[in-house]
Amino acid sequence: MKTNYLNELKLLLDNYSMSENEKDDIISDYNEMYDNWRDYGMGEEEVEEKLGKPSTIIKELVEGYQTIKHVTHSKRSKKNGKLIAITPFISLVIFFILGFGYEGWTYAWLVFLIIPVSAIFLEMDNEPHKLTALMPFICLITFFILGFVFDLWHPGWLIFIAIPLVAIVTERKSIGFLNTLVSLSPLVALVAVLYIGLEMGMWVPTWTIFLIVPALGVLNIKSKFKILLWEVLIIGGTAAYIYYGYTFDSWNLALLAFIPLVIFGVLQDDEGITKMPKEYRILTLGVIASFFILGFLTGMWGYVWIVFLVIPVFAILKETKGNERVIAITPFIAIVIFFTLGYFLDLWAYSWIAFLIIPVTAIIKEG
Amino acid sequence: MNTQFKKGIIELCVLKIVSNKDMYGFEVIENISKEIAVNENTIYPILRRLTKQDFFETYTESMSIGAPRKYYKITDTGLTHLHEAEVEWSSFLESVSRVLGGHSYEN
Repeated sequence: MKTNYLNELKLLLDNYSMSENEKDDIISDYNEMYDNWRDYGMGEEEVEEKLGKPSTIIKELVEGYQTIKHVTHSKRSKKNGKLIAITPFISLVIFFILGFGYEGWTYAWLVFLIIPVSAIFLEMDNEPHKLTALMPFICLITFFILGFVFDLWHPGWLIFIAIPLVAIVTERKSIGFLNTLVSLSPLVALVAVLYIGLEMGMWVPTWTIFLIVPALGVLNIKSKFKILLWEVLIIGGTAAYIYYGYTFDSWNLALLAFIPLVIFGVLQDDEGITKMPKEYRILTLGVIASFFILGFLTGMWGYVWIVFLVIPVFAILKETKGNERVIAITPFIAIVIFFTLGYFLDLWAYSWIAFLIIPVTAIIKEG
Repeated sequence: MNTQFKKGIIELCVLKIVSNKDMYGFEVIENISKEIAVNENTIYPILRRLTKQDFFETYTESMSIGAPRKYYKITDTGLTHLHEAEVEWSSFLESVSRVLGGHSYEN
């Protein structure tokens, strides 16, 4: 019995980055305690009850120690740090090859996105936040392909709706197969939109295919009635949007068809995709309202989408700490600087430099 | 009581008890548990930590009956630390007494 008890304890301790001496010390202490209680006349079962099961006491014993998995991760982190450190040079070489070799200066700067993307991909552990942090780049690349290659700056900007959408979707409960389906849906939607857009030139209202993301996401909700309501609002809103857009040829105003969906989403407070704290719901509502108000007031639909970045930025500030927070937040800062300088001052050729703050920050923070 | 707060106080008690006399782990528990509810899973990690911090050193003593026992002995560093901790603790207690005693602490 005592041997089994101590062996079990040893096996559990082996999962932590503790020196063999420390482990031996603990085992020796428990051996001593076991014997002491036995000397007091206790039976083996009584002693084990008194000392506590190894699986229960392990937490107290390893306070302050990392699991082996974490230590492995730290080692991996150092390796990742080196990889991140060389990406600026790789990017620079590709940039000049594309520029001098193919006169592709207009788009060559996009290779610098390798730097923040690799930093985020390699350094961030938290999968939902990783996706949230990567979304601006995915959207930005898509936006510029649409813009530079096809001159579709408008309605190409609609792609940025995917940023808050993903940030919200990643908050939902994950359930096996459905979760995978939801995670894949933005990619599937993107491919479908690009295909139909390119083949038929029908970008509007094709972008509504992106709504399959929330349409799948809400299937996580337990209440069938709620699922039905969500689906009716998503599908109904889309149908109304398309009907109004085609009938009156006013696609901007047609966006109002999604207002019931937005309000319903923001007011929900129970579960699934809507399980957001009050501040998130208020923020989301405020951001959407700001988007429409600023859009209608200024007509700068191609710029005001930037307000949507407030949502993932707020989520990152609230949910992450330390280096992870800084690494996750810099892409958004870079995008705002980049896009503002480009949009208002037409400094696209230089504003990409803003993205250098990302690797610089990652290298400083990760050492 | 807050767990971390309690652990801090128990650590002080362990230092004090071992400063009076070299003791083995079980003896420390027996002494402290006369006044404060503690168990092995609290005391042994403290003993190991204090040893790691060089506040204690250990030696083994054979017993006429049963397995040898590991004794803890306070070091000079441990005594200095104990003295500092006692001063800090007294000062803290005085402050708490003043507050709870209703004395003004705004002046």
